[in-house]
Amino acid sequence: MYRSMTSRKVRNYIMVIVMVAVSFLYVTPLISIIYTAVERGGAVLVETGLKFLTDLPPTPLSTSVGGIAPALIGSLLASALAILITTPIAFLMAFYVTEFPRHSLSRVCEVVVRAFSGVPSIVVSMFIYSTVVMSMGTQSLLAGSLALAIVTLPYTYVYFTSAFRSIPESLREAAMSLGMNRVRALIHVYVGVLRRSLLTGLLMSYVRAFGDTAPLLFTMGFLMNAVFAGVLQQSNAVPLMIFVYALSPYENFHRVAWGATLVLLIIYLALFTVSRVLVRGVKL
Amino acid sequence: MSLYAVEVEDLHLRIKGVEILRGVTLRVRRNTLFVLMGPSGSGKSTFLRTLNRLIDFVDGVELSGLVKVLGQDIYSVDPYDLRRRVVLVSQEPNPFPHMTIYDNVALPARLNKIVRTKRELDDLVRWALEKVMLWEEVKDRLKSYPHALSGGQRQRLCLARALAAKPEILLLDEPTANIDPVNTIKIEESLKSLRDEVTVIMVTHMPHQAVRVADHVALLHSGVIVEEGPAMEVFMSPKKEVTNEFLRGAL
Amino acid sequence: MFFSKSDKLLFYSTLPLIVGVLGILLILSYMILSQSWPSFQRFGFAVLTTSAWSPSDDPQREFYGLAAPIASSLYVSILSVLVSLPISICLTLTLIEILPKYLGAPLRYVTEVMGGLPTVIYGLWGSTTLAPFLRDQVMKPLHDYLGFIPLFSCRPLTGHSMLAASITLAVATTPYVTALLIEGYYLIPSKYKEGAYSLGATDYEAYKIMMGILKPYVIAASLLGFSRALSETTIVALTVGNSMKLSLCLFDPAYTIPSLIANQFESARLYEYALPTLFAGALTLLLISLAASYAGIRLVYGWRERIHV
Repeated sequence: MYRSMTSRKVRNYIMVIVMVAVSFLYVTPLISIIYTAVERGGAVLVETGLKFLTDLPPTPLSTSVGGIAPALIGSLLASALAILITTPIAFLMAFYVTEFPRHSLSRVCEVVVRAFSGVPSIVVSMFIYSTVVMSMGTQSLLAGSLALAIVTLPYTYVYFTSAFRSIPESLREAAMSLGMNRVRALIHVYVGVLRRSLLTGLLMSYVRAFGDTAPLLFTMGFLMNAVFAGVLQQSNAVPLMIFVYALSPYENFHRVAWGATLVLLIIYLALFTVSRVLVRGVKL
Repeated sequence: MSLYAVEVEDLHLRIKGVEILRGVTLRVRRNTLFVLMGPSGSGKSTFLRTLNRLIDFVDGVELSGLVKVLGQDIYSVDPYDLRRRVVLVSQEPNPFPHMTIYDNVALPARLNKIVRTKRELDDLVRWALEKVMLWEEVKDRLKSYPHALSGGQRQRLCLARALAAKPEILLLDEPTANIDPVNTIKIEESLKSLRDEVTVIMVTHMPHQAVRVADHVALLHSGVIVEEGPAMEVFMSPKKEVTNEFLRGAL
Repeated sequence: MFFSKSDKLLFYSTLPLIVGVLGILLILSYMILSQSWPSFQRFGFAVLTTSAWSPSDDPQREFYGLAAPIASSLYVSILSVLVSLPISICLTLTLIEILPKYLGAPLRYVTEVMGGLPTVIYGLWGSTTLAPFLRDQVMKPLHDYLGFIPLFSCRPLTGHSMLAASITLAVATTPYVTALLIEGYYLIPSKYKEGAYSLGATDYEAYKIMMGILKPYVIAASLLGFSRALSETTIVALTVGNSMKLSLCLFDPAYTIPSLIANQFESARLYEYALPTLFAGALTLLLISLAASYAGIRLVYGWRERIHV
């Protein structure tokens, strides 16, 4: 009896230590990623300076690294356009579903959005290719944005629904007790109370769209000879450029890929941190 | 215009099959301070939330009987219009945390277009805050946020907000349940001063409070009205044994 | 449900949106199906059961079969779940139960950062850092000493392989699986934990009981993680080695369906049946992925309803 309790305790300590160790071991890839990106991408950025952000990409055999300007502009615009499309849709759907959780249309809504999150993003890319790109005759920033919008929609929707669900019942009652209808309560109370979490959702959706590659593969094009050619023309994106250059055999392209990775990493970490600070400020 | 603010006849109400109200019949005259007493769990809050149809937001409610508020069947009017005229103050203070003290009070007036000018709005806010005796305490910090206030002050802010909506009926759900004695007295004083302007229906489980403020009282017990009448009569000579027990604090 | 005119207005303003979004989903499914149709017509179901990729200018001599990429897709995704699930369980318990807040909060922050990290960064890292490391430190020793086991029977070359892809995928999907498990763990009523401790359980034994209660949720999280790994393109295309090969050996390069599509789409446009075959792959992928997510979500909802009784 005594001994078995001791052995149970020993086993307990061992397992707890193992679990903590595995957990901390898990984050080592992030350290490795940051280290490699700073080491290899840093070298590129030090060599080119800010011109890396404003120059055109290099040719395969050129000696200079050039820059990622078309990709940076393309990413900034396409992600903005994508969340401009998804936000109103996701917002209204999320509001509707949280207001009428038991209505059959709300269930349809849930199922449809869930189904969207199950569609592989490369399939979305093929879909936009065979509809938008084929009918427009060219890949374009718009096509890329639409693909990103479809992929981002479920994320934005989930952020917004969880925001709406976090409204305390007491505030809902306060709004209703004063004779507000649902839309007025939304405008005057919910949006104000939730402004930080809604903003966070928006920011996280933007980050998501900014970092996504697969939806852009067959839709965005690969613009290299100009910074920006118009919304209905080919464009480029930072993740797309990293992907294509990483698969290419040229050493020069690999260096650009690492430089672009460091830039993407910095942008991502900055936006992510801002959104977390916003969440921390939420007071109810 | 009907003589009564509220007329309820044989109201039965179940939530998810559990019977909460078992045939409530009750009339409340206009411009009185009516106190509905009853031990916890007697169905007071549910009854109050039926009067302005907040009960609509609860799942699984079945309701039968006639409820007329301000002369109209509540199920024949738009619930949002109804709630504009019949405003409820909850037990827990719930000021809007993202609005300043001023904006909290001004909001219903702005929404319902009660006033036309900024000046009128200022006056209305001041009037409402004075009514609840909060003006002196907050007049220098109208632009600060409600979390700077104490619980009792916040509850009075909610009362002021309700008053600024210029309701015809004011419903109060145990407004002083979680509040210190000083703030309780202030709220009770402001309620008495409202007597001639608005019909007040207050729910409480504390007989003492009813004694202090009520014109007219009723006792709700196990989903039915046990006794009802002018406050003095009921307190001095209750007709039912249950009422007696309640007043002695034995329920 | 609708109390008034303004509620109806809200309803009608949302209706076209929902119908529109549903419409996009239906059109998407229809497009993928119709684009893949020529391939099914020409090859029948052999396109899913044979393994070949031989384009030709003469449509009569074209021949394609997706068996290898389909099998490798499943293999790589299942493997990645097998790696990420134990890590996720450890992380869940460590974050919620074991670590004090001042240690748990930063660790949670880091896992959340890893959860949103652009997949292309994982891909590049997996391809240039992890794969060579795995080749030298893991694959070569395993092959040298345990080469008689089929899983380790092939000689690792570049390191780009199904093993490298699975592990990179596992690193990338663990935060997602962990987030699901954490969500589920918080839903377990506290009475069960009390119950476990009052029976004299040690911490570890209590965690085991809690995980037992959470089991359907764990399965659901695995299904959803599997669906995500299966659909992932960027990471796999950069780490799996991209080769049309059907092999059990972990160190062999392969194609998954998404990586096949990513690599062959541009050139497939030149051949009559190549593009439809890629769409047939996409259709298969879509069906498996939707089925796995659907099953996962059903389990989650079912469990949530049962746990609170």
